[in-house]
Amino acid sequence: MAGDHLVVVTRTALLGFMLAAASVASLATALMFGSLPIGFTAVLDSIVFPAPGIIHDVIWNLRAPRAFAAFACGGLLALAGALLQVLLRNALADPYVLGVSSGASLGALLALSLGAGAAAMNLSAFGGAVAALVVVFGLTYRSGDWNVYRLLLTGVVLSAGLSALISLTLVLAPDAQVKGMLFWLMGDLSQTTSALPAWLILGALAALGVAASFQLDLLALGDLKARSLGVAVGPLQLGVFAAAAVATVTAVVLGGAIGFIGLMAPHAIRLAGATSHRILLPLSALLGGTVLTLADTAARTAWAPQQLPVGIFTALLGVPAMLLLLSRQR
Amino acid sequence: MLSCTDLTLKVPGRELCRGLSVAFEPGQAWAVLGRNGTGKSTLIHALAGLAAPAAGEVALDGVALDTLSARARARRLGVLLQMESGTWWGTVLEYVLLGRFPHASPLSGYSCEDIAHAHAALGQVGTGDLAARKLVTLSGGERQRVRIAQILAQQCGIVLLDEPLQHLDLAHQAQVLNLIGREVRERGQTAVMVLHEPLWIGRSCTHAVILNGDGSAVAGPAADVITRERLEHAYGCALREIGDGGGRSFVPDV
Repeated sequence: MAGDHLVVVTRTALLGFMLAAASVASLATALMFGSLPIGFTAVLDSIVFPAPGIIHDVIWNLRAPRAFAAFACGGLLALAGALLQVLLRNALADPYVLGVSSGASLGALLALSLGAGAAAMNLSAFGGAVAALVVVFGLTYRSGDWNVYRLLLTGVVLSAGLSALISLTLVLAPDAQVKGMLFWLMGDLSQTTSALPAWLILGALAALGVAASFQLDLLALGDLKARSLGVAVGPLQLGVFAAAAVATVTAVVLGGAIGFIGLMAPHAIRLAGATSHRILLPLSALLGGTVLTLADTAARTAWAPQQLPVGIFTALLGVPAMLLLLSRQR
Repeated sequence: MLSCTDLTLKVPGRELCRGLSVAFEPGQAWAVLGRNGTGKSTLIHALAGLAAPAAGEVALDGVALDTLSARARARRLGVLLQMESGTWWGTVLEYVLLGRFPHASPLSGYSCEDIAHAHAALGQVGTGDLAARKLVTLSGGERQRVRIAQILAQQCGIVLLDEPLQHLDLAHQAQVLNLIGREVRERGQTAVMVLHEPLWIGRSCTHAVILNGDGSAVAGPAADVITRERLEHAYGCALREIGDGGGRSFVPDV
């Protein structure tokens, strides 16, 4: 019996080690590839002995900010997905079930159709995301007894309505703007400014999630059972909602509506054998960050110098991997 | 000691019980009886502090239950729900370990001692060999025994069990009732069980509450409360009493 436990601990440690290594490797890959290929030794050289020059500029002014933004964005989406899956007790929950991405998309598209710049567009996306959250929260929250099914359905219904408005905006928009809009809808990290706030938010939310991980495990059993085992379910649900909302809004403002990662990263970790939230949350964040960093590198490189929407590559990379994992499960 | 005073329970449009006052003392095993939909689970939820009564109070050693923290309550009161709304994707051992949550540190989690308690509880219901299995792969009866193991691992002085015998075969029904009976007799535990099995009611409980469905209820020692007439009134069907050396049983007289 103690032996079983040891095997589980060892396997989890191995999984964590592999994902940490993959995270570093994905960031290194992002620094090496692009319109101008840079060798591994040249990248190392630039890190250890920074010297001004074109390689240094490409690595530190162009690629590094974008790579770190992609990683934080993917980590936040995966974290939000894992949190919402346990809050809503629904395996199909993803960061966008609360209407955040549709709200943000509508905001961004309206700003784009008015010819706004990047800053105004981000602000408008942020406003749309928060407005959608406020509507969903206001319609569903009842102190003491929060029906998570109503929360889920309200989010889905609101998203459907917003999607119609997004289509309308696309149809009515001037032709010159439509391509930029489509990029935004499929996820686009090329407008990245600073990734530091996103990293701080990711770190803080992951730490909070780990601190509350045993309560989250119990929440998976249902409200009543969690309460009977001593969890203050009401405050915990509010906290999870708030954390998922902050993570999703941050990610969406950073990278647009990038799909797939928030839904699938937590499931991939669960399929690999880690169900406890203490392990699930940090490892999902690492996996989400790694996948998005690699996908964004591919989006920059595959058709260089033309850039493609990253959302296409998260699916192209993620879908075969997930199908393989699923088919190997008994 | 768990007690309720002037307890009134309602669901929309109906009163389930009115002004019920009962003291559930240590060393007593209570049966909660009544037809489907008469409020047995609602009573269990109210006694567990999981649902607020329409009127009246539930108290633990004289202290109102709703003034205790959820954690303090969970250390003394274990609740087996009839149904759990969530799904546990982890192993049986991890599931039973959740019962140790009220005793474990909320930040650093479960200790080796907690794991030992979980293994011991699994052994008590004869499911020690299932520890490493995924919970979702178990049969209904195996899962029910594992759910009971979780309550045992919680180590509470008072247990509220909503249909502890559901899905269990005869031998395991006897095993679980013997287990609970031993905890009650030897350790002074209080058990309150929703039971449907007329086979066991007469022989495994020292006391009983009967909810009649019209808001009236009877509560007291088994000898006074568990009579053929009262059960016939509660269930609305004719019964036959069978007595042997081990106690009394009731079967439908059809």
